[in-house]
Amino acid sequence: MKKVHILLLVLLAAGVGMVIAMSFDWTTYATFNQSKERFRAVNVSGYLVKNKEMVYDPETDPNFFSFTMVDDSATECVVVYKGAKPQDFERSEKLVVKGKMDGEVFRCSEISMKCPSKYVNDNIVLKEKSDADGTVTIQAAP
Amino acid sequence: MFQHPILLHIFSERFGANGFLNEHLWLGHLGHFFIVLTLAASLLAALAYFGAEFNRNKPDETSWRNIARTAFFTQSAAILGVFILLFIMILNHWFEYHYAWRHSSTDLPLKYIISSFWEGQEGSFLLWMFWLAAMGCVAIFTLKDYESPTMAIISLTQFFLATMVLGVYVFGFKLGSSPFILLRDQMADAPIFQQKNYLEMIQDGNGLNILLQNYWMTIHPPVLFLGFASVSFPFAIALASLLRADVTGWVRHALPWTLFAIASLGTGILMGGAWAYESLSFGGFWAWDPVENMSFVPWIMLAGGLHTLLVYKNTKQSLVSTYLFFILGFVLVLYSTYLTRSGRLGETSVHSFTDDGLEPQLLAYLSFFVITPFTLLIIRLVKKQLPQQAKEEDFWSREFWMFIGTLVLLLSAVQMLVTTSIPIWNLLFFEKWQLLKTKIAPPEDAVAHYNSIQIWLGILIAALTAAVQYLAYKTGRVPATAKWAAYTFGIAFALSIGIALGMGIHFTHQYLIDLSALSEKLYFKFPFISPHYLFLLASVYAVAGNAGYLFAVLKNNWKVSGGSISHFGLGVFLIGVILSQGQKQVISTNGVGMKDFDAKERAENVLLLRDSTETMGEYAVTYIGKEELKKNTFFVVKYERKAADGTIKETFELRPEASVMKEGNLNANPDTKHYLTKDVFTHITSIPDNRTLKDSVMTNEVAKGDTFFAPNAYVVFKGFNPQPTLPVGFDANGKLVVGAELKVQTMQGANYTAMPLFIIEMKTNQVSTLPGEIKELGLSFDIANLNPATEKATVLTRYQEKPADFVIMKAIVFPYINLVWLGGIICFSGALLSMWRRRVKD
Repeated sequence: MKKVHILLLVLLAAGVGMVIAMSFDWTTYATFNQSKERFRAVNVSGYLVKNKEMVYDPETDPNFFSFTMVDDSATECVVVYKGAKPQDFERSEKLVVKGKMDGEVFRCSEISMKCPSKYVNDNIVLKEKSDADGTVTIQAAP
Repeated sequence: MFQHPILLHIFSERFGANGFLNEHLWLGHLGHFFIVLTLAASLLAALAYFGAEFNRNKPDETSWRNIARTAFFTQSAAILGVFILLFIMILNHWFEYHYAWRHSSTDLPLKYIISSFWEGQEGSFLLWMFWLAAMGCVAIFTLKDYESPTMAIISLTQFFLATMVLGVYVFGFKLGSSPFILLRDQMADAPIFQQKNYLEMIQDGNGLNILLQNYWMTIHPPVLFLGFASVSFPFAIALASLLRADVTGWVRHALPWTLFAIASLGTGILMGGAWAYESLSFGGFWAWDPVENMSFVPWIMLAGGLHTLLVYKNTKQSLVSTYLFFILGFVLVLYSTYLTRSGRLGETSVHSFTDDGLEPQLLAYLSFFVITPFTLLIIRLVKKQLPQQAKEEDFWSREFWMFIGTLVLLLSAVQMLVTTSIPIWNLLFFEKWQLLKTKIAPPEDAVAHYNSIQIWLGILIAALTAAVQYLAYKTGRVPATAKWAAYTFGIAFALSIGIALGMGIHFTHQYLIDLSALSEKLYFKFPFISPHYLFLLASVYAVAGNAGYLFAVLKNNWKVSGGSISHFGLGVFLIGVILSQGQKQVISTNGVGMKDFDAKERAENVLLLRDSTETMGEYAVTYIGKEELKKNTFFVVKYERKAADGTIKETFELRPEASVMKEGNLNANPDTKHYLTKDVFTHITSIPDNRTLKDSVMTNEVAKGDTFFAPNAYVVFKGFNPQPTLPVGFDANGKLVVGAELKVQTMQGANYTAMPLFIIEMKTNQVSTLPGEIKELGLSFDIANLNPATEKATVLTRYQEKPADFVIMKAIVFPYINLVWLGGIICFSGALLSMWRRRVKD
């Protein structure tokens, strides 16, 4: 057996070992109820419950933000995020929070939100001829 | 989903015949013509070059090659034409074109108008094609005997790229997306286009994303795409040699092109890092974002390919791995293009293009460039046309350890590739084949995930770059100069201890050992710091070892020292990485205890009210106000550093920018104070939302001398005043006017008075009121009722919420970040030096 072959075997072993080790780091998607049984962080996707209280008072603590979210299995849960409230959070269409259950609240380390037309922004702003300050926005058909 | 009609034919009836006013249709027609010309000429060039290759050393070769060259120059001129036309369109703000309207606006300064050229998918493809054409013209004159097969493959690549900007439907299948689509075609249903003079009504373009309004964005994309385009050359030369079954002649051509690709792609990536550092909220120059990873992986492949190519050149070993590295380098450029432009990364990346319906096309090209080279390689292997060295590498030979180094590089690439491709694994194993029970997602802490493995690979790489060059090729005898490898290691050891102690370095990183999928007990954290010290040692050794080699072995012979200079630069870069990232200090921690790691990690935001001061690190930081400039709002934050005796030693102001975009996202541009040895970085995480201000009303029934509360103040009712001061122009005839004297004292102790009036029309007994206002406090008082019997007044206190004025910000000190940039520059300069020495001269 040549040294190169041994090396390649070592490489293969190292590669496989690395990928297995890495895979333990990956997270999965779950519902709030499922995440209670999981020890590790999970991703929960769902929607913001807009009529429930949302707490963010930067003057007391700019790093505390909590809201109520309903997951895809229609379970509601209070989510606590240690950080600043994302801008225009209320308008988010869909949320994915990453974190763990802690008692009755879900502590998340990351919030990703899908906002309406996050990328596509095809509004043509028109000049209003008669009025200097008025502009009209029309929505083009998608 | 895309219903807009594409301009199928170039010379349509649209030459002004449809009656739309002020359009510049000639530009679009000419642009389409040039794109089609590029497409046709590059295909012709590819075919003719293949013709020349198959007629090699036959009389027809020259005429085939002449056709091919003419065709390639033609497509180069055409692509230049497209380039110029697109610039004319954007510079003149011809908003009848969707591209100009979507990506630019009239208020942009020139440098950002240039950036808007490559903000879109089409513009960045054009940039890529432009560089490919430019480098192709150089290659025609420098590739000598390898011109035909190499340029055939380059022309074929160019042909595929040209179809990406074609914008034509073929049998209902969208082929490419053109930058010359008219706005009224893109959004055909909008009612505005029923008016012939619609152009006069369009106020402005959509503008350039504020994050891209940074000088790095003017220069980073061109350099990055220069790098992407240059990766094609080592690939094409390698493929050409496989086509020809010639395993020797290609090496001298591949070397300079590989070095150039490493330097240009590397510079492009580093500039992207500089942009991210200056204008994104990463809090660093690298965040392991998928898009960054995917441009870095091909670079690693090229670096691996360069080293195996050198091994092959000197020892005839490692031929197959060299081919593999170059093929994979190019394939991974295509794969990264696929990932970023198919929209598949949308879920996991901050900067990914949208899905423009180009996915099938991208996939088709990707498969073509995977299948063809590998088939060819396998054919050559099966036919035994690739010579295998019978002799084994010696353990103490340079080539053996260089090969190990490339394997380490490969491992590093694999890790990035596997985790970055998570959306693809979901697509295949979850959606298509349903082998996974649940979708997988990126790690909880991506940075820790990558670092925990890359740090070990980095230690190996850094140490190898320092030590391996002291070994000799082939002989297996260790040269006498190799003692310097040991000497410089001693120096590096002493130096790194000195750095660690002198700078008071302590790495507080902790490792997660997470095997909780097996058992909950196998999840633990501990502060495992030694790899960081080892990394520092290895990086210092890379610097010392290469410096030692330069002076002791190469004796300052600059011509041959490109490699050592590059590796020296790499060492400097790695020291910069470990110091600036490992020692970065979030100074806006708001005094949260240091014991709890999580709290320290997360509580990085501080609220600064207007004119209030917080202590951050050695600075007293005050938010002193806003500056509005055009559409942008800058928040002025003053930093003051005081000596122990209270004298101010240094004052500076930073102007981080933040604005809420139309879509509602906060776009924030950090600002940084640069020193030679550190940077102070300031970033706005949140600004108050003043769009919905609340009004509140409180009712109090008070007698003389009573006190009641208003927001942030208390109010004393001093009694009625039958002869109040009346407002100017008030007609008191026939009216009974009573004022209520209110004394208002704020919580801060400022005094105000207010006098709301109660007015009775004597004849009709009609009652009206006039409120007393204190504008400074946003308070307004009104008398709702007077009770003559009890001498009590019912006072309404209206409070209008004042627009809040504060910033929530983050401040980070990055020590020695300049080493990162300096190291990168040295590293790529070394590569260019080597390229110059290795250029093909005859």
